[in-house]
Amino acid sequence: MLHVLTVHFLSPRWIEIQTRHLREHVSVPYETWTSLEKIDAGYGERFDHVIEQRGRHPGKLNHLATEVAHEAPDDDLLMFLDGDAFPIADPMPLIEDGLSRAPLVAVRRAENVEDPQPHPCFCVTSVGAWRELRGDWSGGYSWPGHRGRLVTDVGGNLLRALELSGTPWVQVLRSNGVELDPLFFGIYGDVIYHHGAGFRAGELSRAALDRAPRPIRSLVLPAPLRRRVNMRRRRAWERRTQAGYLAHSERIHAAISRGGSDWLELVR
Amino acid sequence: MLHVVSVHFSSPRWIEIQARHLRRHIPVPYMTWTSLEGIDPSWGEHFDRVFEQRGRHPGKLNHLAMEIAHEFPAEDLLMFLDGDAFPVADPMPLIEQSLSRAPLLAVRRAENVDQPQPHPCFCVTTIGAWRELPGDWSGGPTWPGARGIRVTDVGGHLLRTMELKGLPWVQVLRSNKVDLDPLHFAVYGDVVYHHGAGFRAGDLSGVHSDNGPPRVQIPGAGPLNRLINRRRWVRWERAMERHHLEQSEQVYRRIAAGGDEWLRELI
Repeated sequence: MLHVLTVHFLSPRWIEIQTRHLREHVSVPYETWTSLEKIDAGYGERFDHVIEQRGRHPGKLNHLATEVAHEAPDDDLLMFLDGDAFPIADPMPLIEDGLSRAPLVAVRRAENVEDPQPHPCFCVTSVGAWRELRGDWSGGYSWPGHRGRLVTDVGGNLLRALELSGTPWVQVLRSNGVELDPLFFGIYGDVIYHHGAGFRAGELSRAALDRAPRPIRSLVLPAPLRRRVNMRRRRAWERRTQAGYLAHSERIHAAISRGGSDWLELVR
Repeated sequence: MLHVVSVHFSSPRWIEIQARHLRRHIPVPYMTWTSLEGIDPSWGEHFDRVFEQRGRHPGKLNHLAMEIAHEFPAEDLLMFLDGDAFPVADPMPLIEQSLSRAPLLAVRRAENVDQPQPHPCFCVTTIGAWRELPGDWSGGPTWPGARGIRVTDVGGHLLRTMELKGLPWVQVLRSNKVDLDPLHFAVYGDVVYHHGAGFRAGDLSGVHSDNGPPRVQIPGAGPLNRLINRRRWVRWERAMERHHLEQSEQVYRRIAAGGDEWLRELI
């Protein structure tokens, strides 16, 4: 049995889309596990198991995995899937091939300033391997990110657990271009679409921030004026980037909602 | 060996106090493990091991515990201790007695709207038990909090894991004789002091919110009632935060000055 673990928060806008694509593309028996904080409980009927949760995304995923592992045998599969992610082709060949080579298969968002860690927008492992690893989606363990600053993110502690136990993992990388956005609207391994920041309006990713205009260092301008000019340029750039992202996001979401697969042309 | 796991964030103000109390009250060999995000690295000399970490408190604790479990044997002890918590008496009798009855002992902040979960302001277990559980300080699972609203908090997932496995734990409860505040400035089991919200300015907890002003309903005022209640709540919240900060500073100054006078007034 495959257990799909996905957290929806605040908005139900991805639920119908995600469940439709799961029905269409997952070729083995599966059960869906979710929590629906701040979403009408009526949406619960789209899932096999709905668990009451509050708090942050990594803790919710850890908790769902604990509930599954309590009921399921070691050889069942866990598929972590972000609420705004879904399969666009049968993922089982990729999963079977990946798990024949390593105990865990996951997206690595290398396009996000070389993020090194597994990402829960798509990650598959067995219940037994998750138990063995003592899987944990929390951040904590850190690495150099945007402009060399230390960062952590969801999946950081899982990466460290893999490193310390010498466990290999199969990285599923972005397979579409980054013309629309350096991070969002990603297709991974040609099988999973991840809209990105689907539950947060207009956040800027580290990949986007890495493209931010560099501050002007001209000595012609006095320092206070230079600071003000740089701040204004930066804010204007942030507003432009966020507006562009939101416009693309709405256009693509509307196209996906209409059904069919024509929308894929927008992101390929 | 006892491994003290403690995260300090943004301010070094509790480091010397915590280190001093550990030296004074821990009679067994111990090592201290920490991360010091936003703190000058020179403070690292107060600890045996310092890790680079970012992110939130539960993930940092999970990561430190993972590093320790990778290096040390299953029978070694893990002591999770909040950055603004420290022993005020030898904790070993309590630890030894509790671990003879259950694999984990921890503070339960029952005074915070009857919170059910273990809290990392003070929690001790063995490396083996932490691995076996496996331990995780994240929130996620919920319970009814202030005004019946469902909440989670650090330790929620650990509680659920123990429930699912049917594992008992020993709860270390608040033992103050004098309560300056319903939650903060707490002594637990007569051995650990927890200042509370030591790294955040004036945060309000469930028990504080539970004592907030009751809603008023003026007949005929219609939607104005919402506005009135909102204003009353914000005014009350600000006053409480100011009061907490002042009280926190007073108690902190007395602890920092040394001696036990401040403690005698609480227990």
